[in-house]
Amino acid sequence: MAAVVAEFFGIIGVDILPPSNLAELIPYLLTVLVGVALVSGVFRVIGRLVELLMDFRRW
Amino acid sequence: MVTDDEIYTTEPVEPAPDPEPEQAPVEVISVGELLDRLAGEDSQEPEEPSEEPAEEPVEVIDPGPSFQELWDTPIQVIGMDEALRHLRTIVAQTEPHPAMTTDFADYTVSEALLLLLLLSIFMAACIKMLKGGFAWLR
Repeated sequence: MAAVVAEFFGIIGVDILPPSNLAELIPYLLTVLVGVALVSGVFRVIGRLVELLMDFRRW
Repeated sequence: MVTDDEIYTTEPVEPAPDPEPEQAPVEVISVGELLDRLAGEDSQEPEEPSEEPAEEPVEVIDPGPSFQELWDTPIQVIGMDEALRHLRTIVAQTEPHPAMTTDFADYTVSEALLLLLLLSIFMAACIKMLKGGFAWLR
């Protein structure tokens, strides 16, 4: 699980080293926020498609 | 009328130089002889006659450690730790803390709590976003 999370953060461009001051923390948090928003958006679309498929089968 | 025979001229008389004091005759010796004399003076200690009766042994007072020993010995001052702690606190409070460049390790408790509050807000936003994205799993 940790490897998956680390790979995910590597993909979205978050540095492995933690920030040491606020000037480094703000872009770090913004990157994490963008990554989480992207993941959330992708899975929201997937969920919506699955719901549409399930409703389509109902028809 | 004054004639030339009656004019007497005077000249300043220089004081006679003092007779030089008689100096002792200079004795010329060689360097080796001088060293021998000096060594002889050092070795010749005046011998006092031992006519006085033997005195009782005087208690020798220990002079204590020398200055160098005292200098090398660490000194512990009572209350110095507390004073140093106060000084560190004063320095930490009066030190300029730029918001963006101060290291997290140098944060005060108030700054750390504010940072914790910011991180909590960020985490709450992330959780809310993830809940919205994965709502279809419920």
